[in-house]
Amino acid sequence: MKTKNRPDPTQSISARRSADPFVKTAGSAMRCGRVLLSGMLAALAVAALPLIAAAQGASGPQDVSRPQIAASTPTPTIGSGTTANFAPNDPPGEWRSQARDYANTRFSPLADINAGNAGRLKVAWTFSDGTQNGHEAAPLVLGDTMYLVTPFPNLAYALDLSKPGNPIKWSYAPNPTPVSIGKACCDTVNRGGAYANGKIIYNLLDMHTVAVDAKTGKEVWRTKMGDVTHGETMTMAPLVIGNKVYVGNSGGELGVWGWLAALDVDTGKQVWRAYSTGTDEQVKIGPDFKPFYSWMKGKDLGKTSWPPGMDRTGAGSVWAWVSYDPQTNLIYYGTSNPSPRVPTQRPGYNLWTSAIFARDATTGMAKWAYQFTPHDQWDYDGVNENVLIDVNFQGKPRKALIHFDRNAFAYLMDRTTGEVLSAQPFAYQNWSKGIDLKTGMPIVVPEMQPKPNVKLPNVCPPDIGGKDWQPSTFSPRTGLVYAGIFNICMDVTDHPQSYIAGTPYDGMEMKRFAAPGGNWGEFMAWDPVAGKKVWSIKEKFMTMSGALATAGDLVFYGTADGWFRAVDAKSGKVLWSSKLGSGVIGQPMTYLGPDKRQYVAVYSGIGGAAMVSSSMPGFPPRGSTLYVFSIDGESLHTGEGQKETESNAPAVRQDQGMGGKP
Amino acid sequence: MSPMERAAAALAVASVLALAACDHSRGGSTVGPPVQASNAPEAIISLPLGDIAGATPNAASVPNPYGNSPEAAQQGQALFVKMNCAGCHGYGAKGGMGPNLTDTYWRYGGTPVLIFKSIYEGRPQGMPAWNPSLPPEEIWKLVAYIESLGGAYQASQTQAAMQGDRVGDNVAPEVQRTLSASPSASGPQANGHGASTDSAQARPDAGGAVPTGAKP
Amino acid sequence: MTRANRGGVLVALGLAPVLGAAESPMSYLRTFGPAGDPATELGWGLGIVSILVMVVITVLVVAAIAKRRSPASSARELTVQRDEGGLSWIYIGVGVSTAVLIACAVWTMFTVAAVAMPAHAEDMTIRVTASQWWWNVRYENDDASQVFDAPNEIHIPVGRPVRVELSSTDVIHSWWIPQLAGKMDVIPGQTNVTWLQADKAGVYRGQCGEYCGAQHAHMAMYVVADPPRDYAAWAERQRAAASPGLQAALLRGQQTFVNNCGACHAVRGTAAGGILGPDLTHLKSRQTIAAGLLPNTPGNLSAWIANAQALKPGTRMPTMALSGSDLSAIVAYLDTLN
Repeated sequence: MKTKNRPDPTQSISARRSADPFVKTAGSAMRCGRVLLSGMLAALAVAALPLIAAAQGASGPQDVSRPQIAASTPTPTIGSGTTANFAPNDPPGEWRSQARDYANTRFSPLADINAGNAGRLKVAWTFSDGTQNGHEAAPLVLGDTMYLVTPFPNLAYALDLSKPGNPIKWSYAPNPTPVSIGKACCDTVNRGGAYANGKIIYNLLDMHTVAVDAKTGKEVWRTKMGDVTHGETMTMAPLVIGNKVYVGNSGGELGVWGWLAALDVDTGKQVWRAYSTGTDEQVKIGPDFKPFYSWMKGKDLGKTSWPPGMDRTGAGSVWAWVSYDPQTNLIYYGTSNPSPRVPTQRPGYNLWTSAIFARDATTGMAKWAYQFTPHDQWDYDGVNENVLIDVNFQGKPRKALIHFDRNAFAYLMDRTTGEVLSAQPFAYQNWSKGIDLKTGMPIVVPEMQPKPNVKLPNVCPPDIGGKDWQPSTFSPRTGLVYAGIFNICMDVTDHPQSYIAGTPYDGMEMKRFAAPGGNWGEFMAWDPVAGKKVWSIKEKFMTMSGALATAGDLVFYGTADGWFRAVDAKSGKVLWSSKLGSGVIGQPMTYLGPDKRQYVAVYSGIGGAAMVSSSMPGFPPRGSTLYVFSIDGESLHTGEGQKETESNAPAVRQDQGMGGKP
Repeated sequence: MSPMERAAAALAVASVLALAACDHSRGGSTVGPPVQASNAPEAIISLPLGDIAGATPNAASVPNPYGNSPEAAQQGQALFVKMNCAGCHGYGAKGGMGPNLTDTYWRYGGTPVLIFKSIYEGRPQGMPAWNPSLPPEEIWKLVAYIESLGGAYQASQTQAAMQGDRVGDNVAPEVQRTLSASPSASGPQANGHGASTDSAQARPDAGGAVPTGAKP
Repeated sequence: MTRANRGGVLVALGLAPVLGAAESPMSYLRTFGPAGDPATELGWGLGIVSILVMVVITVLVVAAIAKRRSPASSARELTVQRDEGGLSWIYIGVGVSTAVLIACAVWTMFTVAAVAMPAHAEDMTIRVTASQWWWNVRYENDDASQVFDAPNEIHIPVGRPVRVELSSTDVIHSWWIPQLAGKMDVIPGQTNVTWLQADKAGVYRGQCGEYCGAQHAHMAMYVVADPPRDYAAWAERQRAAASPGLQAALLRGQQTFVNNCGACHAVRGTAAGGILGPDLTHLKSRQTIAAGLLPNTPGNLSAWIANAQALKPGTRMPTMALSGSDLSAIVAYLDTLN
């Protein structure tokens, strides 16, 4: 205790009084009382706030007046120096596109739900959308409305989050043709919509892109992008940048001609289309094209790396993710496997399949490209997401991207030049001895090349790869990238195939099984700079859901048998798990409700390529339910009192015989 | 020549003649199609897919002209791979993009003629029409292969198939009286391999109303 | 006619059909390239040696039979005697035979080595896939854009060795072009390798040499040896897709073709992409159809499509139930596939 505050016995009383900080002036007793009284009143007021709040309908001891949000560009807590650009920097409580930002980080700045309280997560409300197939999309939230897009028949819903029961504000039924059901290789899925300019924009399975007014649900425009009877479908989530919508086709197993197109966001008219195979003109390769590695330099390689004519049915479809760097105005996306899947039918490098393109977002002209698996022989598509991160690599700052390819290698690449900085295996693989960084080529193990009509056993990874389309997430707070991956191998027999339009142009007969370890799935944290796993969680079933990282230092993912988990982003400890009604292959997202409460939402509805493991005991049946979680399951409009749904619109498309087996 | 020599010579000549008479076209080469397999299948195409409103449909029990021929099933299996059927229905026909063809669920009917129709005509959820790419006898080979997988109904069981009946069902007496004359209330059986209560039922072409023009 | 004359006539008669056949397409008595020449020469050489030996022995035997004892010898001298000089016959006989046999053996070894591999490494490879009852040929190249398929009629440049890789999709066949080389079996499940070289331009007929089913006898192929420039022009044309820009009348034929035939046959540049049957992109450039069965004329083509089973019973091509107008539309379209 400081001597200053002690009454000095040598001083006079008045001197002592004046020295005593508590008694400064005359009337101090009254002062004291006043101070005490105001203090008590203040305390009462503070204590009354929850009661007031409760009276207004909110509940819980949380301070709901100001949500905790980490800064929009948080500094990393682990000194890795890895950062990302979170443009377009949407409001923290909203989720306007599947990847949340152009860099595809899927990182949320919300931190109310965090490593400290994740154990208290409970279901707050659910919504069943009435469709049956694999649910791969994440809902979008803008303001007080949640937007959902379903698998075939590609319904769209808008839910009013501010009203009791989260009623349907509008619904939209585009009625795509059922013919598309028989042309979708891997279930009639849809990977989500995007919000832009007052519209919800998404793709229908039958080769149409639609834009729906976000307020009313009325169709604004609809564009036919291809011919479904030739085996083309569309499943990917469009990406909107400025006034352009980027969409691509599916059909790598049906001998389509793969492409990425840009549409005008307001009219839906196509602005340009870049094919993935063919002449330089068709692939939109011009004088500015500068691939980093020599074997991709040349004229019309998209044609000359194929036997004559086979480029036209060579696929290279663009069925997954597009990311964007606003500083360089470049978009990044990958192309599918070459078609047919029997490699002896198509000698040559088969450019530009199983590759990544960097294109000018305005003109579509290619800046650089890199083929992950030249002359792919195992169906290793190149379509997985490219997460744009800025790293310190070997002492120098680099504008990079991290890409977990189907071929089980994690590529850290310079996104301005296309140079591969490092390529390390992240999953069990035996097809390659590694990637030669000087030439950029994989070193293929000769025995792992299938010959027609001869069974080649134990090829790892299988066609669906060390990781498939399920997207990873980046946390700037840890500098790590998190992803669900596979631990699977296959026996493969190739059967040379005829091209018959509208039928599979495929030829791979496969039997898949777990790789050494016995687990089909695994969720990992990967250090992109060091090129190695930091921690991982082995899962018996496939981990084919997207991943979500938050500023609460949590990572979320789901498993094929229906577990949805929250994991400590730093340590990998599972902090919370919940079993959902069906398997999880959707992308989790998080948002702030009208009550400023943080919610985490994910679809349960197994399907997609996870069906390759459907004979495992414990594999769940199909489902269609969106689960929304919050701390203690609290949410706006739940709790005491009987509530009535303030309904606006009915569920669209009363069940019309899509019941029974598909 | 001595009698011995004469006999030996005769034997030699006879065996040469016998060998010459061997049909070398079997065993690995194409099975010649039965005559009716290449008949234009107008009768088959005009058969209804669903039940007829307000009436009892004819039993459309056209059997597979190839019967139980294992060569036809084998060639059908080769066609199943070469015509890309396996790409949608799986290499063991257990399903994938398209439905499982080995189980007893048939969205469009599981008797030989209805399976034939599905392949010939195509179906709305993306099953292509194989006419005219495949002539009828090739389609019957595919049907023979599918029948050999064990999930199809026999031709005589069309009524039973449409009504969802299985072998071993009890039949309420009121219902028994309304059953048609064809052997019914017998469920899906693998061709020639399933258990059957009546030996006449084991053969796919036994009994039942048969559309005119098609031989049992 | 004297005995000697009679012998000569017999020899001449025996050889006549042989000599006459040397000019027929399947004759193996005369070859036109280093893959077969050493063997043919060896064959002729051994044949002539054998004939000479035969003649010598025949003469000796006949002489021995014909020789009479001198009438001067009396009955009492009919005891067995040993004549001097008999062993020398044996010594000469064994010595000559051994020398000739060793020479023939050595010659055979050299011949076997010579036909096993070409003197210089081949710079061209074709991959031949035999099916019942036709030959698919893929012209390989390190540059993928130069690879193409052209069935049944094989073109090779004159004077250059060509490596032939043989595989089968079903049963055992045998690759045999008698005027160019010996046989090589085509066995399912493995790839056998042989080679060809034609030193003289021309058309050489080949035939499946191993019984492979009902139409084994109708599984022929033709090897056309072109001067190098003609070969390059032919290959360039084969690589091209079917030319677009058909007149309206032919478009219907193309569509009918794609609908009826495209599941098994390919015409590059159209939606027909089948690999079960021969590639028809340049059908008109071939001289025969159905693996050498018929000359390639519209009439024969029409008969073949209408009822292949009647012409080649058991063939994998089914009888297509085509209407008359469909058939003529298809044949008219196929006529444009040069």
